[in-house]
Amino acid sequence: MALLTIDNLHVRFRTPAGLLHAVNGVNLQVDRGEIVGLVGESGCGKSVTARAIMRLLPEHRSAQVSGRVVWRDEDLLAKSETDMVRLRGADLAMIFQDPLSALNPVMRIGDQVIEGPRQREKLSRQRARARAIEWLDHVGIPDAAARVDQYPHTFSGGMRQRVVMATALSGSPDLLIADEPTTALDVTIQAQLLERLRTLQAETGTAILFITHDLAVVAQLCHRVAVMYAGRIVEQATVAELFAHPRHPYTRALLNSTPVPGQRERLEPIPGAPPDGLHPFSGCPFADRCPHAIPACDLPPPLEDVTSTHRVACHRHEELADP
Amino acid sequence: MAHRFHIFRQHRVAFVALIVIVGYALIAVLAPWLAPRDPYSMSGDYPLVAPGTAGYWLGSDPFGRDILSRLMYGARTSLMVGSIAAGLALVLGTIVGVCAGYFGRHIDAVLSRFMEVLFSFPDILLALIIMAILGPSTVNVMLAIGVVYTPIFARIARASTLRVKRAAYVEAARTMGARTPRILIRHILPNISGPLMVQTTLSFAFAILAEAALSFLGLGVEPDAPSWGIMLNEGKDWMQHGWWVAVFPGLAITLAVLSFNVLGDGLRDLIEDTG
Repeated sequence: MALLTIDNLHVRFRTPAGLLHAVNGVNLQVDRGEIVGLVGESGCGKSVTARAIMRLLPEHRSAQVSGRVVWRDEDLLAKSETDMVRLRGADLAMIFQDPLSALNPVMRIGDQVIEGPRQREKLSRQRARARAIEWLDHVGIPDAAARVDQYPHTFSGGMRQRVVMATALSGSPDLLIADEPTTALDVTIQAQLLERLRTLQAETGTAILFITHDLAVVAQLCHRVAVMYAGRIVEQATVAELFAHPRHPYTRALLNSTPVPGQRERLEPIPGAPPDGLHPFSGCPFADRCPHAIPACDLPPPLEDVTSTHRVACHRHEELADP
Repeated sequence: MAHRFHIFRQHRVAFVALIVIVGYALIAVLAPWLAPRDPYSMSGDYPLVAPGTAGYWLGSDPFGRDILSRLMYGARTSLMVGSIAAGLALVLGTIVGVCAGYFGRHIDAVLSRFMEVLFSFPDILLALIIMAILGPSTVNVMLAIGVVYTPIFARIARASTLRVKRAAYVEAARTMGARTPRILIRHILPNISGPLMVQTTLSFAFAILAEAALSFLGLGVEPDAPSWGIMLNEGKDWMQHGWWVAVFPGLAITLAVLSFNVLGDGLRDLIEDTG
């Protein structure tokens, strides 16, 4: 059953240089208890999509958001800020890329972890503290009972990201949006953190929308994956299908530019740069960089079903399929 | 190394200033017990006696009132006016500045323009206008000085809020479902408090000076109340006959203002050191 359905989401920003098209018709679905990876290079609209779901964009200033973001049966984009405040933290939570700045430097760790539930449930001080310790323990903070009263500067980057995870999960949300949570960390810490996240996900059943540019992380963590390019979803499939039979030329190029341990093959960079979003175009956004582009690519490719779990937006995906 | 020594010395001076301020505060609180004489009682037998004579350690004024006792009671006036005026400016300025910085747009435009108008008056002139309208009294001095120094706090609070409101932890708090009042009080306010504390200490010095100036001009506290400014005013006419009447209140003001300034600078260094 679909928990979150994003339907034709568009986000544009008014900038001094003109209207910037950041997200151009994203369609995506996240089911209950599922981990979906949202992959793409910097600037492709991943984070903007996440913030649009949470309604964190400056909508009354520069951002224009259209389309539908259906949460259970209700369109989040139609909700008032008061209603969103009620949903944030309790139903939908989010964690950010930089753990060093995501914690308030002058607030005790424990108070931050339990801030959401404490407002909603009117917990007593002792109950809140106990819950905070419990959550810090869950995310793997050693000696949680002692550290609950400390301030963020005494924590390392990896430990802070664990605290941030505890902060987001303490409200028992149904969906956690993780915006590149491990990007700022080194690889061993990243592996530990992903392992912990997977364990917690299995225990709590929280669905996760995991945003990353790292395909290795997707392979390790996710059930399904959507590949985003220039504000559009170009391919989505189960992780196994996508890695075994990528259909979209961009997905293939992305896989070819990722190192595989043990192989000494030369990595192939993708030539050119993605469109800048200031100059709207009607055709396939990848056509300029695509080795397989044909004149028909001037028309927008529809997102077509390859199998019931695999969809791709490319005019030539059938010809280009693996034999 | 030289840098560290410099900071150490800076803090040591600030520490001395703190001790002086605590000394002033103790004298102010304990004035009724410490003062050798009644600060109001006049004595026709001992007008304008020199320091040291007949138990008048710092001499007496032309009405035979004990200078030392009046200075001690004057510390009460100065510190009370200073703390309440600086506190008022802190509270008003912070509310205005945080609202302007956080909500932005029209609210910012209206509040900031209003603060700029206040700011554009010379301090003492604005205080004089307010005092002339309200009439001289201790409460009115506090109000006037508080209003005069509000824009400085508003400006600092606004600038700091603009910086802090873009911090990731503020956005993170929003995603956890924190409401605006909570974000302002728990996340913004504690993170902008450093510069505001420094400004409060410095404003304390300004407020003491402003109180003395207003009282000197006769638009401050009630005329018979012991105030350093009033004492200075009375003393100036007698400089040739009794220098002590004006010099001691002048020294009291100088030392207090200097101490608050040094402490404020020390606090600023400390905050900048620790980031």
